Amino acid sequence: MTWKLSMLAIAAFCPLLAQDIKMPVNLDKLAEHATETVDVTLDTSMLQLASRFLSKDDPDEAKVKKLVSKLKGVYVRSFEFDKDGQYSKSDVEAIRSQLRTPDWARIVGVKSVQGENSEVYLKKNGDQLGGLVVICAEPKELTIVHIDGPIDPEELSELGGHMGIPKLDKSKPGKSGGSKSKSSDEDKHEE
Amino acid sequence: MTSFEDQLRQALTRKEPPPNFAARVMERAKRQESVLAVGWQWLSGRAWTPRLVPVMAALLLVGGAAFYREHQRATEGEAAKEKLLVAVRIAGSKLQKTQQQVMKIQFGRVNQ
Repeated sequence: MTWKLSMLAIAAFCPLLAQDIKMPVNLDKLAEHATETVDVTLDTSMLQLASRFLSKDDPDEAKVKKLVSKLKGVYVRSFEFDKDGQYSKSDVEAIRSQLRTPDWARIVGVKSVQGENSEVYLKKNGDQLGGLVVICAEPKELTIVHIDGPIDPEELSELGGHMGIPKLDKSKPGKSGGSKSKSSDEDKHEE
Repeated sequence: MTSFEDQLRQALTRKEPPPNFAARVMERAKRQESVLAVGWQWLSGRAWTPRLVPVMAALLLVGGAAFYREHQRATEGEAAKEKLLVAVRIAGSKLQKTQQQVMKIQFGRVNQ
C-alpha cells in the first residue's frame, strides 16, 4: 500500500520535475505596460510539429531543424516598453531564484552603467548541457529565453548573419553600449 | 417560269403527313419515358440502395473530418514553426549581444 502511494506521489511530481524552470506569472502582467510583447511557449510535441514544417532545402531552416531535434521545450518572454522602470527587479528575481540550484551555473553576467544587464545560465546534465537560460534586462526591454534540452550555445550563435540574427565580428567589439561596462564574475568563469 | 421557280414552288407546296404520323410520334415519346422509368425503378427497387445512403454520408463525413483535421494540423504546424523561428532569432541575437558585451570588456582590459 505504501509503495503504491509512493508511486502515485512520484507520478504526480514527474511533470513538475520535467519542467524545472517556470516562467513567473507576474511576467505576463508586464504585457499590459509593454509596447511590444513576444510570448513563445513550445513544448516537446509542439517542437516536433514545428520541426516537421521546417524545410531541409532551406539552409537556415535546416540548421534550426538540427538544433531543435533533441530539445524538450523553448520558452521566450520578451517585453519592450516606451519608458524606463516598467518592470521591477523582483520580476527578474523570480526567474533567477529558480536558477540557484546545483544543476544550473551562471557562465556569463554582464552589468553595464547604461543598465544593460545580461546573464547566461547553463544546465549541466552529466557531460552534456541540459538547458540554457538567457536573461537580458535593459531599461526599456526585458527578455527571458529558456531552452530546455541539450543545446550547444555555439550552434545557436553560429546562426548569426542568418534569420535576422546580427553577425558578430569576433575580431573587434561592437560600438553599441557604453565602454564603461563591467562584468561580474559571480560563478565559475566569465565566458 | 424558270426551272428554279418550279423547284421552289414544289418544295413549298403543303404536303399532308402520312396517316399514322401522330401515332408514331406519341409511341416513340412513350418509349423514351418508359426507359427512364425502368432505370429509376431498377435503382430504387434494389434492396441495398437505401442502405447505401448512410454509408455514403458516413464516408463523406469521415473524409471531410480527416481533411479538416489535416488542414488544422498544417495550420498549427506553420504557426509553431513561425514561433520557433522567432524564438531562435531572439535567443540567437541576445546571445550575440551578450558575447559582444563580454568581448568589449575584454578588449577594454587589453587596451588598458
